[in-house]
Amino acid sequence: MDFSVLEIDGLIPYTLLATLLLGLPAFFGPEQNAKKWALFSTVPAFLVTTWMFVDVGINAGGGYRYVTNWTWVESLGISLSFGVDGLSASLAWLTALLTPLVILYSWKEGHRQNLFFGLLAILNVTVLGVFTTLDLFVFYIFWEFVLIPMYFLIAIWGGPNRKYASFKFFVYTGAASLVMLLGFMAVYFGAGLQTFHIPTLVTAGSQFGWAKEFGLITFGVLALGFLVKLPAVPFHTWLPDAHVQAPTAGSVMLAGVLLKMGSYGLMRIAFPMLPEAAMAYQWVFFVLGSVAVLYGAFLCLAQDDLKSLIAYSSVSHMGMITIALATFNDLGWAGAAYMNVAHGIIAAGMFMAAGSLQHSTGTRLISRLGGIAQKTPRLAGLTAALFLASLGLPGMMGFIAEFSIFAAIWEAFGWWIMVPIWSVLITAGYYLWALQRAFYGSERRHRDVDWEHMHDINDTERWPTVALLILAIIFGVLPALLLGQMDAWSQSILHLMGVA
Amino acid sequence: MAWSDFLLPPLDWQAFTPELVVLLFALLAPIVALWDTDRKGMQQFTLFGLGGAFLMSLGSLLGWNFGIPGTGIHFTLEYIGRSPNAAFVVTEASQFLKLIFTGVAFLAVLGAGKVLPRRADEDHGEFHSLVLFATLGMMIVASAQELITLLLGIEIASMSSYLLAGIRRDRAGAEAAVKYFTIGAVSSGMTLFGISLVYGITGTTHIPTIGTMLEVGGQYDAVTLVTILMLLAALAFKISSVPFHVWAPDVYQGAPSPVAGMLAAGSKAMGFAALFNVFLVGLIGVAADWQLTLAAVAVVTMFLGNLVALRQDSLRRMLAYSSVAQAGYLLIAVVAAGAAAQAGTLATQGWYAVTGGLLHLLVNAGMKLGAFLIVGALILVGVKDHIGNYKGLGRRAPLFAFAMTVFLLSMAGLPPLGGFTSKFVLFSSAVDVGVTQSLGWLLWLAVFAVLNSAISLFYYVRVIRTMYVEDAPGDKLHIDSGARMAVIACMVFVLLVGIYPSWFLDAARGAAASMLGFTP
Repeated sequence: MDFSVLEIDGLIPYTLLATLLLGLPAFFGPEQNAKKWALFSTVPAFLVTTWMFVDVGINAGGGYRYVTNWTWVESLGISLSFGVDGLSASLAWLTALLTPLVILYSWKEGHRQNLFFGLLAILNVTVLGVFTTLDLFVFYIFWEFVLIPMYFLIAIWGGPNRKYASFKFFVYTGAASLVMLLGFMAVYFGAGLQTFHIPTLVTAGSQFGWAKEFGLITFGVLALGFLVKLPAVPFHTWLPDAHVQAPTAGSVMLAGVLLKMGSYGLMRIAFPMLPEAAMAYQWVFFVLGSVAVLYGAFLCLAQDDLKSLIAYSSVSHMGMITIALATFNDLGWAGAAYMNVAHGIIAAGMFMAAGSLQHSTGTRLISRLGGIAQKTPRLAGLTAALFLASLGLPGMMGFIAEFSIFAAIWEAFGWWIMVPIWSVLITAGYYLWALQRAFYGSERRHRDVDWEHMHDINDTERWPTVALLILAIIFGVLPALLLGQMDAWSQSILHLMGVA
Repeated sequence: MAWSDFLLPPLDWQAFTPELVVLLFALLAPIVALWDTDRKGMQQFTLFGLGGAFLMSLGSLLGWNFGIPGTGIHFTLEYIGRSPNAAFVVTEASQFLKLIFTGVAFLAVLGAGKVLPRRADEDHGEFHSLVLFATLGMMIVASAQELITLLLGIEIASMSSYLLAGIRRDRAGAEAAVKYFTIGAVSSGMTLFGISLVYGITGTTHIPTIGTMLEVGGQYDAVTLVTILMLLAALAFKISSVPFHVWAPDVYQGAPSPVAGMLAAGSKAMGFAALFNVFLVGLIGVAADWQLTLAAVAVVTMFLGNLVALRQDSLRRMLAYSSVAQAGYLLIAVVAAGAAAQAGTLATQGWYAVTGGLLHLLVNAGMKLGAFLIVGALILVGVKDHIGNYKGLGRRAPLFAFAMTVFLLSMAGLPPLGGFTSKFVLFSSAVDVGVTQSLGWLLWLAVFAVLNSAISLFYYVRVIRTMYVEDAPGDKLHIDSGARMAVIACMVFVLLVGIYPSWFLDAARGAAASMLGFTP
């Protein structure tokens, strides 16, 4: 199939603009049409990113595709550069996919619909911008702007403690990105090339190298910014608060794509631009990742709220990515990229299931549930399947990601694999234990749970969740759909960095 | 001297046109006010004068020419680089600053429409005249190349501002005016003392000449240090930096909001224009003597401003402390340029730093004025100046709540707003000099600035949350159309600098180059 028809100058920026313009009526139009406009606004981005994703998957190569390079601020060397490669095509596609799914999932949202659906449409544009831009300055603009819709989504439609959670989210990640901005400035002036163009800076950084001290400090500053977003222990405390309080749509976007911005930044900017410094931090990343993997998993065992369990499991899974990056081999990096998408799809599905559990039973607290599977068979089945996908059952996405990452860890660190490997056991433990206590076993009939009016997951919530589950299975059975492009990317970037 | 020369000195009058227009309108304002009964006409009169001065400054910056074909009548606004005398020059920098001053005054008057309810029947002529005189003083500072002229400009602006702060003649206004005047008078005294010391050392008050006399690398004694401290103290008052910031919260709270907006936007820009001129042209040779002091002042100022702002429940006091913090950020431009001069890169890295300073002055003017106009207009419709009253504003006054969000996020430096662009250039100038010249303390300055931006998120987001997340009963508010237009103008401007920075950045670059005395 000839994919070159869409290789037109400005494809990505025009798509973003179209998404933004189509999203505006959701804000300002009549309230009853807000969701329709928001859904409609996701169509062009979904079509274009699917096209690019398939193309990059079939014609896998190391380089950027669908490149746009427009001058924006000439005197500072800022350009409107966009493009995708094996790392970002799948993430852009995931963003464009999750947005319509959460809009459909939230179809019955009745409170301040204009703002709700408008913010989701805007969030789509900004996250897509993060994943597709090739200019450091523009990257920062999109990166920061993501905070605003997400802040309001948590602050207005969140749970009882939403004020605190949204505030913490904003200040924590806002402060981290300001620190990261300092790193951007240092790279910009340190390179002295008068450009913010990411590929140029990556080439410059890996070919010419930096002064040792400068490299170490700059990498540390950049990594700090990205690790807070990821989030890595000990910067993770904003995440459980934000997740538990956020409405389902917010949680899905947060776990599905916002966390990936952190790992994407590490993979796209921090590591490739400062490869020598990154190598020096190898063990720091291994330790940070191992701590996150184990600590996150242990905390999961102690959670009563299903949403906060999934939140901590996200911390744990993001820790896997941190370790994977420390391996510096192409299997590990491809596995990290794969984990990005795998966790994006599965965690999004799990948060949808948790949201439905709240709607069906009025609570998400495991201690108040028990034996509800007979009242809510579909929800129980979906949740069980997604939990299994997340714990790494072979045949689903999570397995491929974990397997390639652990293989890479063995290759790079040898017997040190014994530290993070325990998480596999704990992960299986907390998921199955939670499943058993909440859905199966004997009926608990807690007095705060309205047993009589409990209903199964409704259709608007069911089909988006099912769609994500199907994807998790498809990519689990046919991992080559994703791994091909990711492997091409990881080989070429590690080659450029001079480590493989 | 011929008799006619005495009546009309042989000056290049055309280079004065914007100032002359403002002066004429300022002198006529109290007289015209006698015939103005409905108070609308007076506003239009002032807007006409200020708008004319704005367009002339803009025209001279862009080099506009007008001619009527076939008549030989030709009128040109190309007078950049001309100077009636050595004390007053028209440069890109001066016209750039005049755009800020006239623009701020124009929007403040537009937004002031009904802000002066009490006793305004008697005072409104004076109000408009004083606004025009304050603008005139600022414009003189922009063009001043000589310390006495500079002082004259500052005094004209300050005297008018003292009166404007108390124009409502209520208790708060009186307190504001007296406080402002007392501290201002002390600062004027110190300015004069500093100028006399400069004159004693160099034998001149002409700033570029001082710059060539105090050459880079020279050895200077304690008198130079005292001079620097005196001039710094004097200007610190105008820019409201520590330790001369104490007047700001009381004055911003007591003065009518459009006046407070003018002080935070225009008067601060004037202080920085003078500071840039004195320190980066006159005292650049002794940068080693002042750069660390200024860096310390910058850090303390931003920390104090931001930390105290956290505790404020009055929007105007919060904005006042945020304005103190902005002064700390802006000082980075001076410090970075001074360090660049030391390293011999004033024309490249110093240029970039001053560009950042001027751009941030421009953006700061837009966002601060806009925020004060919103607070002022809301007070008029019964929303008192306390954060608790802003609940549900997102529903009651959607436009103003949105604009306030834009201004506050821009002050915090979030993209894609103007405040991000200018803060980026400003902070990165410190990183620029710090990285390339291996000056660790400059990097720390940038780190502190970024840290402060993070702290400031707390109080800015608090207001936004109150407006949108918390709700309170109340109907939609009907707000004066003048204030509406002024706020929209400020908002469009702040958004435009963020989305299309090139124009503004290039203008600031040109202005910074001419301020440092070279052509790019």
